[in-house]
Amino acid sequence: MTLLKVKNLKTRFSTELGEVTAVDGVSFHVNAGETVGLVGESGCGKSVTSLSILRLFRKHSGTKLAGEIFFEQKELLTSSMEEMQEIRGNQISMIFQDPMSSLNPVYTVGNQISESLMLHQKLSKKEAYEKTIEMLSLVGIPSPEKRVNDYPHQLSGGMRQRVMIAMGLCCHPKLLIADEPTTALDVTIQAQILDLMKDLQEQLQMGIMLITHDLGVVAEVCDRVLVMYLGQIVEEASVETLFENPKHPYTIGLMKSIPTIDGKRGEKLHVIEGMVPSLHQIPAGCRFAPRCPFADEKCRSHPPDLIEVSHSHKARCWHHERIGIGGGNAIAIGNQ
Amino acid sequence: METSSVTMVGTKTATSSTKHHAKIAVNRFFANRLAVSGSILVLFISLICILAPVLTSYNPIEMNVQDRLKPPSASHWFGTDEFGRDVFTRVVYGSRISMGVGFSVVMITSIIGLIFGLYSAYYRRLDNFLMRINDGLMAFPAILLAIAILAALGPKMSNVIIALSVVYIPTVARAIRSVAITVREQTYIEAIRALGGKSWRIIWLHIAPNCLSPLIVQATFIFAYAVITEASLSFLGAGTPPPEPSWGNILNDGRTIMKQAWWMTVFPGLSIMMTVLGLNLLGDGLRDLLDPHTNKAKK
Repeated sequence: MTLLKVKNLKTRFSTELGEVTAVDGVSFHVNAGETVGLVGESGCGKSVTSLSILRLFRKHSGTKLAGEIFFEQKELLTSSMEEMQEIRGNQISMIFQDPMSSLNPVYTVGNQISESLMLHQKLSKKEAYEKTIEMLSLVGIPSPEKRVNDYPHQLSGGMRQRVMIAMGLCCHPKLLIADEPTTALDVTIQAQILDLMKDLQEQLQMGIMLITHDLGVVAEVCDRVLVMYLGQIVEEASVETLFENPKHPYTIGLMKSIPTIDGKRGEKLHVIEGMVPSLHQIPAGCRFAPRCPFADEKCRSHPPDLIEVSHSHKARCWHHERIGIGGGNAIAIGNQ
Repeated sequence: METSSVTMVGTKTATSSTKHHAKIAVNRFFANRLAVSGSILVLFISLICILAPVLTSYNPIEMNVQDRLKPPSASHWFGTDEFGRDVFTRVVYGSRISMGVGFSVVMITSIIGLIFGLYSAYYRRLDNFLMRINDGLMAFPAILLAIAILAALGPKMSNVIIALSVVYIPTVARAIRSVAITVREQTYIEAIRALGGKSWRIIWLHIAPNCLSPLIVQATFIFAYAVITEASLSFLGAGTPPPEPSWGNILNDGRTIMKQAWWMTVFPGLSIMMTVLGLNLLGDGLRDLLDPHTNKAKK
């Protein structure tokens, strides 16, 4: 069952230097019970995509949204603000990346979780309090009946992230958008949080949209992956396909940038050459062409489309047939 | 059964932890000398206001010509003025007006300033509009603007309160706005929006509580300014009209005969000084206590 369907989403910001398109024609879907990863460098439009789904932009910020976003049967972009407020937190909820500043310092964590329960589920104060304790123990906070009265500064980063997850999950949303939920945490906590999200997903059958730049996390938890570059999806595939047979040079570059444990000492790490171009100076052809080792004249002048290279595997590259990983981590390319 | 035991444990720890937090706050307050000495002074003056009828048996406006211009003595602690009125009584009753005006101004400016500050921080278009009015009001010197408003409204205690409120609302609104703008950009505000919070909820339940400490600090200073400005206005004849005693108009009465009757200017002057000193000390102390930045720097 398709839970969320995004069609040709465009998000434009007006800046002092003119209008920029931060998300340019992104289409994807998330099924119930499925985890979709959204991967890319900082500034590629991952977070903007998630904010666009919930329409979390200020009214007068000059942000323009175009395209279609269907949540179940409902079109979100044409919904009224009241309808959106009903959906936010209740049906679609979001976990932010920074647990240190995502909790209001003047309220106890219990207050903040029960607020959302009282808001959406119309629970009484007492019911919400009980439910909050239940949620806190669900996310694995020890002695939740004590912790519920703690202020955010009394908790560690990992605990705060758990509280954030409890806040996001307390109304049993159908879709959870997790914006780098584990980036600020250390590795052991990271694993616990990811396990926890997986467990809860099975219990509640929710769809998860996981935004991250950590390919390790993607390999661990995602079913399907979308790779974004400069506001566009450049590759979409199931997680196995993506890791075994990536078809876009950017994806390959990302994978090669991961340090390997059996690499030689002192060996230089692979980097993708060049910088992400500014949104004001988008290359005329393929957006990745200036940094791509395989780019030719066609790439520099004609933007490629996102085409299906095999069953449910799409890539935005003119040369996808010649590109792939062959034999370990070396890039094989036809007559280069 | 089980749920009820959980709530019991919960409420128990809730009260004990609130108590714990309150205790820490009280201890920190008493460790701050500025705040303690300031609040002692302010409490002392507030007590005088409340206990005025108990402290003196004289009438503050009744004239008694045979007792005019008596120096301080056992029966007239602060002496008498040119109409034979007891200066101590007038200063004590005057404190009611000065503090009353100050307190009312603080309440009005805090509430309206908070509303203006929060809404202009939250709604950007409103911000431009409100802040230009604000700038306009702030361009005038406080006293001058107050005199102009009082000239239009006429000298009356309620008008003094209105005039001083108009003068000081922009200061509060500015301070609140600057804090609210920083709070507005915090992730937790975005998180509340993502949880489906409506604007009024975000403004009043999430931004406002984070602006309270600067508001409290600002309010104590506004109190002090209001007391001084009220005294100045009454001194100039634009404030509380005689024969009603106010520290400012007692000073004014004594001004012409300062050489013969020093007590008429010294005692109300001292009262003003004590009140303002107390409020400023309290304000400084509270700022050290409530602002996490200065708090560490001072220690």
